Amino acid sequence: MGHLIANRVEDATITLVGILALLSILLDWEHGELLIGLLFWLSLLVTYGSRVEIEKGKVVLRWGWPLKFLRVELNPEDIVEIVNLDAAKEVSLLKYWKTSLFFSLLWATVGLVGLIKRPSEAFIWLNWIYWGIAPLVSIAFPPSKKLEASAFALLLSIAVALWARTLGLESYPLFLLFALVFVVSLYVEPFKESRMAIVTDRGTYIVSSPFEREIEDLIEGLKEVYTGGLGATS
Amino acid sequence: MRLPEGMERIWLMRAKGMREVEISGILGISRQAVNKALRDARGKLFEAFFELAETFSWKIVRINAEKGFAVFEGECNGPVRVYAFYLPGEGIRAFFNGEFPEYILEHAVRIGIIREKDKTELVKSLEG
Repeated sequence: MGHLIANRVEDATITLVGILALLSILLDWEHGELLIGLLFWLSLLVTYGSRVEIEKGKVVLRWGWPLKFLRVELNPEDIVEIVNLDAAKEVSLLKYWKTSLFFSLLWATVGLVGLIKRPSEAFIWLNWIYWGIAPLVSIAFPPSKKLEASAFALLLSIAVALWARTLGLESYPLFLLFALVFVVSLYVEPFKESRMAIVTDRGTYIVSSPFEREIEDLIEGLKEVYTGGLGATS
Repeated sequence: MRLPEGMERIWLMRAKGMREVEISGILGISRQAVNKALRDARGKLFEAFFELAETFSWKIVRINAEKGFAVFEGECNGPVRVYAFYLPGEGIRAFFNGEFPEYILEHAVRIGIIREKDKTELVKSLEG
């Protein structure tokens, strides 16, 4: 029934990885990259959003792969607002995930500092900058602004590709290829992500799925929970 | 559907932006009681909006139980936007494509969905 893409644990690990990377560059840590790389991949496993289920009248969110390390149960009364982000054509994900702007800034800063301190590893630092900013394509633009989002992806990719070329990197066309991936992900299912925001007292959870049907099923499940009585099982 | 009087009063105070601790101070009840009333109100509002969608086969776009409104997508010779509001003392009222009467604009200003009585501004707020 959809996967979680944003939660506090994920937010914390993205921040930790960014700050450690920055410190490792600034303080010239030996094996810093290895540690950060390990932490990054481990955090992906721990914070991987698993399926969202409705069990015994509660929305159950789980994270982790292959084991489900984390679990949050939401009572129907905890929920303040639900938004089908595909149908709400004027709402961008950014409204519910404002910290993503901070992550972009943090990762781009790591890339910039890296370029200054260790220019010999320019390809790595340009990737930090690119992948720090590029996710905003799907976060900052509402569904009704696909054209603007595509233009942003294209401009960003061209800018970083030109930058890479100026620095003498032969792999610069790779960034143009990434632009293509982003544009396709905006228009073509199943690359396109359908999303739903669940706002609660405890925070906001973003549920995502490549299939719109799964998001509609989750809303349908919630409907059964509420209309079947708050203790209903779906 | 109407919220019970006491619950509605607490929900309305919260919808207007008051904090739970302020509400408990004004009403002279515990903060836990305020919290429980708010949670129950949310449950009832979600239930009512879901039932409305079910009855008319509308697709759910957004339900906000804190301010008591919902946005649906319906079908009537093409897609239509439906905006529903919970009005204290009256229950739920729904409107098509942003054709709001004056009292809805007043209600929206009163609970802080918009600052001034403006239909376009209200649609913009409800949509995102």
